[in-house]
Amino acid sequence: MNKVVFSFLILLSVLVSCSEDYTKDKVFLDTLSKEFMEGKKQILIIPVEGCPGCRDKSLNFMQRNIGHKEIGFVLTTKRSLKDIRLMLMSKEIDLSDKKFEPLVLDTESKAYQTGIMDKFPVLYQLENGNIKEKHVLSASYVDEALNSFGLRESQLK
Amino acid sequence: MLKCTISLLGSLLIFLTSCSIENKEKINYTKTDLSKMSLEEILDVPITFSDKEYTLEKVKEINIPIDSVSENWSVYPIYYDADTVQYYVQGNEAINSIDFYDLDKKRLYKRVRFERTGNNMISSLNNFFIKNVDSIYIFESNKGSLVLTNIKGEILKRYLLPKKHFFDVIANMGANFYVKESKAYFCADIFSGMQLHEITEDYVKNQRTIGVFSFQKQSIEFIPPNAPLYLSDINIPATFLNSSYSFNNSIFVQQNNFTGVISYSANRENYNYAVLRHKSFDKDKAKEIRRESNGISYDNYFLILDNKKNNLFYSVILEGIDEKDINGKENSYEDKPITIVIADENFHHAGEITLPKDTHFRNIMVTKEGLLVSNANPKNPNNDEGVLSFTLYKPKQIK
Repeated sequence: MNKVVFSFLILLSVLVSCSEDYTKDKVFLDTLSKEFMEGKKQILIIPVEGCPGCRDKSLNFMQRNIGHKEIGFVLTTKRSLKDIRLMLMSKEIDLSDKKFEPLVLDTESKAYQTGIMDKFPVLYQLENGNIKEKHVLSASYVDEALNSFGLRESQLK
Repeated sequence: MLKCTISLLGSLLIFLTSCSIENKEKINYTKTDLSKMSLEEILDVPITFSDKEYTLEKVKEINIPIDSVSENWSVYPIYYDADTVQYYVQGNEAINSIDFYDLDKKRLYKRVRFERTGNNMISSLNNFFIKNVDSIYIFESNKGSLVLTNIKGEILKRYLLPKKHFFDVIANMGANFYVKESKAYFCADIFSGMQLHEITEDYVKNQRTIGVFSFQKQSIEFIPPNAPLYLSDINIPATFLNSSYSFNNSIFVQQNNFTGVISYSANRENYNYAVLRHKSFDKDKAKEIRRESNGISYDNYFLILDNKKNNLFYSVILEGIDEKDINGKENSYEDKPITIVIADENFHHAGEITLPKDTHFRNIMVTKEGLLVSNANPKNPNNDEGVLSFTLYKPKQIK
């Protein structure tokens, strides 16, 4: 009997150690409104600062897919709304355009405060509201990750 | 008699031991090719101290009001000395301009604007070099081109890097590019597009780390120093594979981000080596680093700067910190304390200072007046996004 319990505990510990720890990520996603999260299968968080190439590719993706009911976009900054505004200005993105209404601006740096953000965009894949996978879109991975959506691949170039 | 013999032998032993320690300390690493050592060996190389000692003294603050389309920090800050006037210069991506701020009059002196489309377009203002007001070079890394322009914003010439080397050279805050005569010097991005498992000793040992673009031939050649072998160590995280660079007329200097190893040369061919670290460098902790480690916990040798006027160098180190602060909140890259190690002309440690916490941002430049350090730390209570703010520090010789 003891052997069975012991084996079960070993198996349990292996399973627990194999699963990703999304505690911090969940804390951040919980800061987003229920309306925003409703029906979302992917959430892309784009830092204003950090890897410029990764950011720009993610922004291109955002411009072409904003408003998609299954994909949510968040722009985050270490600093203030001014940084977000100026970065968008440099890309000639006009926030007053109605199509950007679904965009969330993390002007209080919550993504940084919760420790989920460094310098690369972060992409979450969700299943029933829970995090299934997390991808850090570094320079060598950003194209592959965004293409994996299979949405508007040609426009990512 | 026996006691006397034992005392004598003991004294002799102590004498011999102290001699051997003395000899060990006197190993001259300057002529040792540190690039051939393993990571473990490199981390054991001690700091060499200079006979001289310096500190940095705060002289004054410089505050310049900026408009609503300008940032008070930059991804690529530039200092430009025009003899009678000194400028802080930064690229303004929001309106596609290069902005010159007069550090004495504390105002925007000139805004050089560029078009975003058409034949005279400039696609990125993240990297540029000011030779003089008639020769400003803009590196469009996304297009692999170098554009020669001037203070009027006229596009004088557009040079295209050879296509196969588009992504083999880079410029960033820790490695500004440099133009001299008919050549542009860049940091070579030797790991561009590579998977970590491809970074083997065989690959690394053949890599030259400076890319030189010839304006006449429109070609790139790669020159020494060769990449150090320890970069192939499987425990170094990708973010620590880089180096910082300082190019100027008389000396080229490279410092590895993780080990602090310096390679320097006056003739751009034969390199000398040194290890420049801060005094509290924890080599045992550094030896425990793993590829998956969080970079925030380790020292980052972020910038190497040349103070020609005082014949000194500054190594700017972002010190490693715990992943969480004392309140359990996640620390970020901006929370890393900034320590500046001052070195003499042989890169021997000649003093160090840790700057006040939560005050400065890593926009740091050597100017004619001293070391200009940005005050735009996001946690600085005085950080005002409408003001470009710096503290000027001057070196002071103590010994």
